[in-house]
Amino acid sequence: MASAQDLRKRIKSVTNTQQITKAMKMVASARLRRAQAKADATRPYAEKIGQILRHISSSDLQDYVSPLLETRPVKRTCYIVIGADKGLAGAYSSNVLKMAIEQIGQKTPDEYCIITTGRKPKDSLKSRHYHIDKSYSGFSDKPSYEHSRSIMEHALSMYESHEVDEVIMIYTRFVNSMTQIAQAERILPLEQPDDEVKGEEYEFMPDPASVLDALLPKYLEITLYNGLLQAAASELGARMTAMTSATDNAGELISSLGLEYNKLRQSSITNEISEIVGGANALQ
Amino acid sequence: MAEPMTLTIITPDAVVYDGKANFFVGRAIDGEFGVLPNHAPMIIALDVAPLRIDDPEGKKQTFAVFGGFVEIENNKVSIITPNCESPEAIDIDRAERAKERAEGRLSNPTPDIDVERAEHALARALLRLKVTKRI
Repeated sequence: MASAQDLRKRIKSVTNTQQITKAMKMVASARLRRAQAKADATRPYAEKIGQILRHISSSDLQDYVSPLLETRPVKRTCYIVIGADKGLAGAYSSNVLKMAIEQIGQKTPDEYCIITTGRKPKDSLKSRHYHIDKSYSGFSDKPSYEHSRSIMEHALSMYESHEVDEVIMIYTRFVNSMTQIAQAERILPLEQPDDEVKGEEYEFMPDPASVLDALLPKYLEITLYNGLLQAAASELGARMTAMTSATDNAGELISSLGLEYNKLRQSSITNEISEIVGGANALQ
Repeated sequence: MAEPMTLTIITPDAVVYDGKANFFVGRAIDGEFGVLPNHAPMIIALDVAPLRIDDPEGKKQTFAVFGGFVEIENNKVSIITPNCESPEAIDIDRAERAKERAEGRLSNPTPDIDVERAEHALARALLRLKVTKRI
């Protein structure tokens, strides 16, 4: 049985922890709102790029096929694993990792190549003896378009030099602050949208093929940027949920410790009184 | 004069410009072009170059546009670009330094230098200096 002093110490330390988790929850929820606003702000850009791509696809390309649209037999796959820099986000990091390991499966290092963003996926994949080709970190909860551009530049150069034949992005899709889904999406080779666009015929300057060549890298960059932003929102959402439940658990623990402490205190007072009364009775 | 066109500049992070225009001039990957209101539907691939917009009040505004596309339909123009900066937002000293660095790299290339990347950096720096009228 713990002494009253031990219990007091314990209550104090749990209260401190609760304050920390509460602060982290607040920080995460403020950042989450910002991250969501940022994800919404990219939507017009992404929609326009997609729209132009569809316009080009439905126009006359004179049998021009961009290398980025060409499907070739897959000898080596590049995985872009998007994860967090910091922990304390519940199952977020382990879900991404699980997805990545499931995707890589039994492939040998000659058949895969990994690019990671965020410290967590890098460390945990490394400790499982996966070979990591390149890693980026320091921006998991606030990615910028520049980051997406440099990652895509690396992936594209590998794809164009036939080092890899396929690029898969593993990220976490943000549904709401309670639900985030880890998923894998193939971003290269691109799938040509086949839905016909209605409306007028467009002219292209200089010509459809050159516009397509300029457009596809931009399309990939915005796809990756969207993945990074979704992952950032998911990370913050997961952290907020984890910290909320940690704060609640700490509250429960404090009240049950308080009860125990009061019981102990009461029984020691009762003990003292009965000793005094017993002593006084003995004197009569 | 024809009804002015509606012009928006969209970047991944924000809508930078949203207003009316009587005329705008830019550079496509194969040369300069100007667009007047009521243009036929068109998609243009832009180069890293200045873009000048004349609004109906007769004010001329110049932006630094780092590649991207112009889409024209029904007198509505959308300029979709990865990055667009107004002259006031450009850090001139930084652009000067970037220009010198890129020129240095291109004039004595060593094997570990990515020439293509240095050329892109130089083009960006020159554009920034051009719209701030430093060169």
